[in-house]
Amino acid sequence: MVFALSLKIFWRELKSGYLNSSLFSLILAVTIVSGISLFTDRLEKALSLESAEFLGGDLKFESNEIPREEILEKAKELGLVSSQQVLFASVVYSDSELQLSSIKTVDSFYPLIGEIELENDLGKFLVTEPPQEGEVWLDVRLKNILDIKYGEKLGIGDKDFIFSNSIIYEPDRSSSSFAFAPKAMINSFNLKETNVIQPGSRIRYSILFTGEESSLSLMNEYLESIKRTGDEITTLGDDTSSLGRAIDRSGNFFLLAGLIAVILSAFTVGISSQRFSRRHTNYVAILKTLGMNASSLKLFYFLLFLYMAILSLSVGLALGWLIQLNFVDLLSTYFPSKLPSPGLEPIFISTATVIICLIGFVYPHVLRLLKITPLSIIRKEGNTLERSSKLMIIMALISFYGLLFLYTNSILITSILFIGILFFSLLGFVLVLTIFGRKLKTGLNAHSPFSLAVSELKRRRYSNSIQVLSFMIAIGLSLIAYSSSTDLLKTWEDSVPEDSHNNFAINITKNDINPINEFFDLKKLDKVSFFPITNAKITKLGKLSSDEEMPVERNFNMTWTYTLPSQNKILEGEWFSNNSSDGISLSEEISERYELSLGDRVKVTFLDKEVETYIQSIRGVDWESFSPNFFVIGSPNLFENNSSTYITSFFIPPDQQNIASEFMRTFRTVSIFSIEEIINQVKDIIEQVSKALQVILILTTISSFFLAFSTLQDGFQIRLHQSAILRTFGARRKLITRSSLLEFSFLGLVSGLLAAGLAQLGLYFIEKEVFEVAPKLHVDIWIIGPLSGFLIISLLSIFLVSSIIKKSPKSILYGE
Amino acid sequence: MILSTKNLRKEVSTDSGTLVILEDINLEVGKGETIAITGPSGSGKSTLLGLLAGLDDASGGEIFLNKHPLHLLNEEKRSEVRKENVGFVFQSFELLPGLTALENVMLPSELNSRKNAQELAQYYLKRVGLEERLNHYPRQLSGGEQQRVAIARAFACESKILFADEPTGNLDPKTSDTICNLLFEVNSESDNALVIVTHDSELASKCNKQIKLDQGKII
Repeated sequence: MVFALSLKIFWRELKSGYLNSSLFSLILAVTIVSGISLFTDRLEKALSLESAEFLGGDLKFESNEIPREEILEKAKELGLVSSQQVLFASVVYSDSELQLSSIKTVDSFYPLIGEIELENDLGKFLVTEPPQEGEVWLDVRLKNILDIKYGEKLGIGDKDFIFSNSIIYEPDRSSSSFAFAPKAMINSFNLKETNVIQPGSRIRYSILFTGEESSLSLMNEYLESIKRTGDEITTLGDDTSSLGRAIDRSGNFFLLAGLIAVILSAFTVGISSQRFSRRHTNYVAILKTLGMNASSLKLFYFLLFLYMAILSLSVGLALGWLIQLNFVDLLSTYFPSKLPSPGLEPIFISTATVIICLIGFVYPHVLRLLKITPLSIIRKEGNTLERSSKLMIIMALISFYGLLFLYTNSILITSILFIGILFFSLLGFVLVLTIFGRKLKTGLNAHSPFSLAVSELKRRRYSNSIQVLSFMIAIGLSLIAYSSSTDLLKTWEDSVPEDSHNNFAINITKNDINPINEFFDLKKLDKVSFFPITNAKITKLGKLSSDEEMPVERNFNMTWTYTLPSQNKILEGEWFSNNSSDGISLSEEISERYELSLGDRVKVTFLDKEVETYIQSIRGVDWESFSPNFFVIGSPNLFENNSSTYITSFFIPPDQQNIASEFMRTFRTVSIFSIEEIINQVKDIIEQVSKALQVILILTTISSFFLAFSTLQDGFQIRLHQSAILRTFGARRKLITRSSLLEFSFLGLVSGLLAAGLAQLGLYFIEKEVFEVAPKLHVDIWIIGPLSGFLIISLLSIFLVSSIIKKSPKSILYGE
Repeated sequence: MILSTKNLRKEVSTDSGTLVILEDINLEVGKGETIAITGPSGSGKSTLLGLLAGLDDASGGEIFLNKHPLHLLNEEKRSEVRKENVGFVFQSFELLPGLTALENVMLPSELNSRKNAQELAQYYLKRVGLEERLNHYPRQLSGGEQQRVAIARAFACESKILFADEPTGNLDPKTSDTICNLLFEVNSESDNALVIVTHDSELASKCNKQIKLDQGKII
């Protein structure tokens, strides 16, 4: 019986439009949440595919030793596809020129992911195969240096190769290590014939794996367990490259946008649920009077909610799907290939959003209704419905926290957001109560619009403060979305300036420095800094000499300088003060990963020497900057007299790339390689994210607008009755319109001010903790916030009040 | 003559076509006169009262309220006429829940920008026997008390004509009697005309004149 009744009432309510506002809010919530999360899911997958392409696989194992057979067997056992590469340095010679180059040999499985773009006399083309036996591919720079034509011979060690193609783009660009450049690629079949690999040669062997996520994770665990000194494992997640960071950062932008949508939706559902419960007061009264018991009523509402959830989910998910298709369409030019299909997570998040909203924001209202006696509901005794019970507040807060956690998956971010919003809500509440808390004059003071507005503001200070909070959330979150898609994105764009260093030069000797500076002067290139660089190992020493030494299983590139590099900042300890008490400085990542703390005694092993010192400082390093960055920086006092080579980075304008070739010809022993490709890719990602964020910003604004409108509509529902009484006794429309306009424009102004505060605080946190940029004062939001609050709320109130005064007082009072 | 109608007509559009609610209503109410509009449910009593008080638009015919042609005026102008001339008592009291009894009664005087709104409200509340309940909110008052506040509010308009729509419809018989007596008693102290819609034959019998409606027509 309950089932049939609930279905009947749901259908009737749906038909009569009573459910419109609650359903509309839920549908909007699902649409936005699913639209954004479906899109971000696909985008993240695409970006991680790109990142996998950059790595050359899903997992990479590098070693200085020939790969052990057991590794390959394990990969086979786990069903993973693997590809092996060998990297080494060798001289490559054509008829007229010779050049020290990086040689990459690839097996028949190459490339595991993506395609290689090549060029020859016939033009550019894509392949998914390695070079044929006897063939060599060169990067464009090496081709220029060697001054060689397609089809001509080229020697590597004892073997002659035919130069068939230039490499324009290769998927596994991350393998272009600093030490090996420019590059030549040959088939591994020919490796032996070259005879260049001799005992003691510096060779890097790598194996790339792709396959099922679970198998990859098992392989990763296995590799970790057999890892030896000098071995390195790279997975997609721990990418500290500029590209990896860019992908991470774009994920943060989408997380932020999605989160804003979730908060807005939750508030909208919360507001419309109040209307739902007001309307259902009579249902409960009548059903109770007719003898329906509490458990049947609970079941009745459970079913009603279930129908609402099913309907809002199906419509919302369908609309969300259309939105993400639209996003994909918008950005299609930025994606080279088809976007991967979304996973199930977005659907789970959307469903959970609906369930949490219904249970947290709507159901407590019903539970409270069920406790009230039919008579008191019919007689509306004590006006109980207008007040929130403790249960409702607690349920709403728990649900809100749950929603935030569902989306952020981080207790820290959830708690900061939760406390931040709660703090500003309380502040707004206190502010409104303080402004209008003074003693009331007797009467409604309906003789003029101004006095009526002031009287209403004072009288409705509690309900007004709730409205202010709601407006504040709507405006504040839109401001955050606006600022993120403009200011933050701009900061990010600025972090990759047009003149970012697009070339690195290594293997520079002390004697090369002056000629290089002269070369740069001649070519009118900017002055550069040279950093000495050496390979070092760190061993953590115990407090006492008898304590066990703990070597760190990894080699680091180390430099020494008295000047703190510009993209570094000291987080703990002190920078070197040019005296004998100086030690070394570690990057934050290394300090955390290898549990090396400030003040720890360490032994630095380099160039067959050992130096005992201590950790003097921990540095934050901007890995996104396109300059040489170091995990370890030592005090020159300790290291400067040791022989080393130098590294530098510089900018060559894209239209003067021949300078790079000239540089290579002039400084034969110096290796130079371009990171132009990486810079362009980071810029591309920024551009993609920027486009998507603009669409999301529009959606966020629509949902904030809807929240503001729902809140106002709720407020005007209460005013409808009052306006009818006032007009019965002769109040002119002007009085009601003007007093409402005054009242709401003031509330809009206060909300806008609070919203600016909320947005400023939110942005401070986002800038500092999420995007790791220097927080700043956003003057624009302090202007846009109050102004938009004033204008939007005023305009909406004019729209709503005009719809009220259009109705005759009789039709309102008689419920016609 | 304070109120008169000529061939007054009201119809509404429904899904199944136009529905005539009132047809050919002609009536006259003089100064200080009391008139009861009676009839079965759905006969159009409340609709007629709404039209007479200028709360709604007529579909045809004429209404003159204190010489103002309501049928020619828009809602804005009608509200001016109501402010000067009309007091109203509703069946469901229609007090503003956020205002005290005193403030509810002050409302019409405030809209007329009268300086003595509070004194006037106090006077009428005392007159209806609620001098002890001035600062009570509607939810703190019984149904009878709420209707007394509504009566005080209607008289505080100091209007030319007072309309009452089933003023005792929501009250028990004893309270009904009290309210009914009060309404006539206070009205007798002014030269207000009083137009009451009622089912209560006893209440109707106290009026100078009775009009009976059936299916939208005076019979």
